[in-house]
Amino acid sequence: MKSNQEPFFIQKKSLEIILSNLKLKGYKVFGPKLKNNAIVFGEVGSINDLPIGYVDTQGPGKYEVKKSSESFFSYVNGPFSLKNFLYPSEVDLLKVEKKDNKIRVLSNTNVVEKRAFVGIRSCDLSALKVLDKTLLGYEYVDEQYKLLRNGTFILGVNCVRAGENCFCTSMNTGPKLGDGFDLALTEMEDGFMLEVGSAEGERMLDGVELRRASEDEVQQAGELVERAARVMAKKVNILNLKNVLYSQLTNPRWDDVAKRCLSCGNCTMVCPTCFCNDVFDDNELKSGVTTRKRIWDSCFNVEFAETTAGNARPTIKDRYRQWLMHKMAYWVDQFGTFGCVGCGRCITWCPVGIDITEEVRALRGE
Amino acid sequence: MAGKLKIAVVKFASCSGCQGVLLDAEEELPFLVDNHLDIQYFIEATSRIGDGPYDLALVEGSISVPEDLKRVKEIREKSKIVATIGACATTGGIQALRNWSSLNDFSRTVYLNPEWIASLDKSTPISEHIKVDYELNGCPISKQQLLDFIVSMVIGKRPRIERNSVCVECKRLGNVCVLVADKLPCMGPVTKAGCGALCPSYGRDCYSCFGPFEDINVESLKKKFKEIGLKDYEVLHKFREFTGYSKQFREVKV
Ligand code: SF4
Ligand code: SF4
Ligand code: SF4
Ligand code: SF4
Repeated sequence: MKSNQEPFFIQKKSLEIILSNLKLKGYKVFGPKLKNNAIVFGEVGSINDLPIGYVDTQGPGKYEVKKSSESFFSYVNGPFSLKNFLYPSEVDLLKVEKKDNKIRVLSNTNVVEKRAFVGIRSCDLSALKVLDKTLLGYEYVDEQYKLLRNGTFILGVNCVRAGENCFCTSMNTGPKLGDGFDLALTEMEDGFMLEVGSAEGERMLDGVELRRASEDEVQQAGELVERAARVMAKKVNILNLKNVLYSQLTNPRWDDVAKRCLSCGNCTMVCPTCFCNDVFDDNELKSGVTTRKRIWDSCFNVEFAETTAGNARPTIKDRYRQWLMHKMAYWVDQFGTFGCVGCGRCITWCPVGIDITEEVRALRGE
Repeated sequence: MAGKLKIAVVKFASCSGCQGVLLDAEEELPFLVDNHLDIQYFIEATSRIGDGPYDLALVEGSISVPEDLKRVKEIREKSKIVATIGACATTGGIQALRNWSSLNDFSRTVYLNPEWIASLDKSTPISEHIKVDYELNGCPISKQQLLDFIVSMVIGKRPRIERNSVCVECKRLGNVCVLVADKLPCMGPVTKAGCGALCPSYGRDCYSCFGPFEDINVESLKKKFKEIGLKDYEVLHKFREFTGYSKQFREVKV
C-alpha cells in the first residue's frame, strides 16, 4: 500500500528516533552492518551500528568495502538478503516423539518475534514480492514463510548510487522502491526525504521532527535516484527474453560457461529469490524425537536432479543452464515474472565471476 | 528393534583421530551401546576381539603396508556394510604425499636399516582394494555426520551424506566468503560438504580435508587462485594436502 501523502524531510539523526520507536513497539530491528569485510544484515540497536561512511566496490567475483564518505547508505547490497530471515537456510517443519510405541506430534510452539528491516533496497523489496508469489500465491502456501513474513516491517532506502553489478533498471525492479514498504528514505546532502507507505510506518514517526519536503527537495531526490538509474552499467535486454532463451538451449555458449562454472552453488544461495530446499528427518534415538528439517538446496548440487532412472542433469553444463533458464525463462511460465530482480549478488559472489548479464548477452548473440 | 547392530571399528594406516571422534561422542555412545550397538571389535575402546561376522565395519586408515592387503579383504568378507571413515581411508591421507616421491629415498634418510622397512610404494584409499558401501570424509570426520550415519544404519534408512560443495554449507551459515572478500585461496568450491564449513566460519580458507565432490572444476579454481596471487607451486600445494591422493586431485598439474 502506497500512501498518497506528500513526502517529508527529516534530519539524518532522526533515524535514531525511528529505530527506537520500532523497538518500543516490540520490533527486533535488523539492518546493514559491517562484518568480516562485508556489509551484512544484523541486529542494530542504534544508528551507530550502521556502517556509516562505508562504500563497497564490487565486480564479478570481487567485493571490497572501505570507509570513504559520510553518508549513511552509500553501499549497496552485500551477500545476504531478506531471504536469510524470512526463508531461513534451515528450519524445523515438524517434531514427532515416539515413546512406549506411541507416536505423538509435538506442537511447534515457536513464538515469532516481530521484525523490522532497515535499509532494504528496491531490488530486495521486489524479490520479496517474487517470494510472496511463489510461496504464498497458490493453493498450497508455505506456512513457515507465512509465519515469518507476517508483520515484517520494511524501512526501505532508494538507491542514489548504483553498484557495479546492479541491473535493476533492466528488470524493472529499481532503483526506486515500488509499493510494499512501510517507510522509505532517500538520502540527500543534509537529510532524508521520507515517504510513508503504511499506517504502521506512520506510527513509527512519533517524536520525529517532520516537515513537508519542498518541491525542490522532492525533485532533487528524484534526480538523485534517476541518476543512479542512468549510470547503471550492467544491462540485460529482456525484450522477448523468454522465447529467445528457449530457442538457445543448444547454444555452444553453455559449453563455454561450463568450463568456468565450479557448480559450487554460491549464486543460488545468495540469490534473493531461489527457494529450492531439501527435506530430511533427523532421528534422535535416545529421546525418541524425530525432527523433520528443511534446508536450502541448489540446482547446482549433483544429486539435485537424480532419480532412480538416472541423473537428469549430470554435467555442470546442464546445471548452469537450469539456473539461468529458471531465473530468466522457466520462472516466467511458472510464476508470471522473472526469477531475477537484478540485484547482482550472483555476479559478485560467484568465486570465478560468472556474470549472468554477460551470459544472457552472449546467448542472445548481442 | 530386532537385535543390536554388530559393529567393528578397524584401523589401517592412520592417526586414530577418526576413531577418536566416535569415542568423543560421550553423550550419545553409552545409550547407543546399551540399546543398539554390539561393539564386536574396537581396539581403542575395548579389549574384546569379536571375530565377526559384522553388520557394519567402520574402516579408518589407508592401505600402506603389505599385510593390509590381506586384512582389508578379510574385513570385507566378514562385513555386511563397509563404511570408510576419514581422509586416510577415503583418499590415502596425508601419508599419501609419499606417492609422488621415492619411498626408498625416505627409508634411507630416516632409518638406520632401511631394509627392515616393509612398506607399499603407495598409500592408497580403501576403495581401491575392496568395495566400499559408504564414505565419510574429513580429517577428522564430523561427529555429527558419523552419528547420523550410525543412527541411519540402526534404523535402516538411507544415510544423508551431502555430495555438494562446502560453499553451500558456508552460505547457509551466513558466512562472508573469504575467497571473494578476503582473496584467500579457499578450496570450498571443489570440496565435499559435511564439515559444516568449519574453516570459513573462522575466517580461514578451506584446505579440503573432506576431499573433492564428484563433479569438480579444477581448472577454473586454479585460474582463480592464480588471479588472487598464488604461484604455481602454491596452487599445486592447495590440491596436495590431506586429500591430495583422491582420484580427482591426484591428477592435478600446474
Ligand atoms: S539471478 Fe543474480 S542478479 Fe538476479 S536476483 Fe538472483 S542473485 Fe540477483
Ligand atoms: S535457479 Fe535453481 S536453486 Fe534457484 S530456484 Fe531455480 S532450480 Fe531452484
Ligand atoms: S555460476 Fe559461479 S557461483 Fe554459480 S555455481 Fe557456477 S561458479 Fe558457482
Ligand atoms: S568461503 Fe570458501 S567455502 Fe565459503 S563460500 Fe567462499 S569459497 Fe565457498
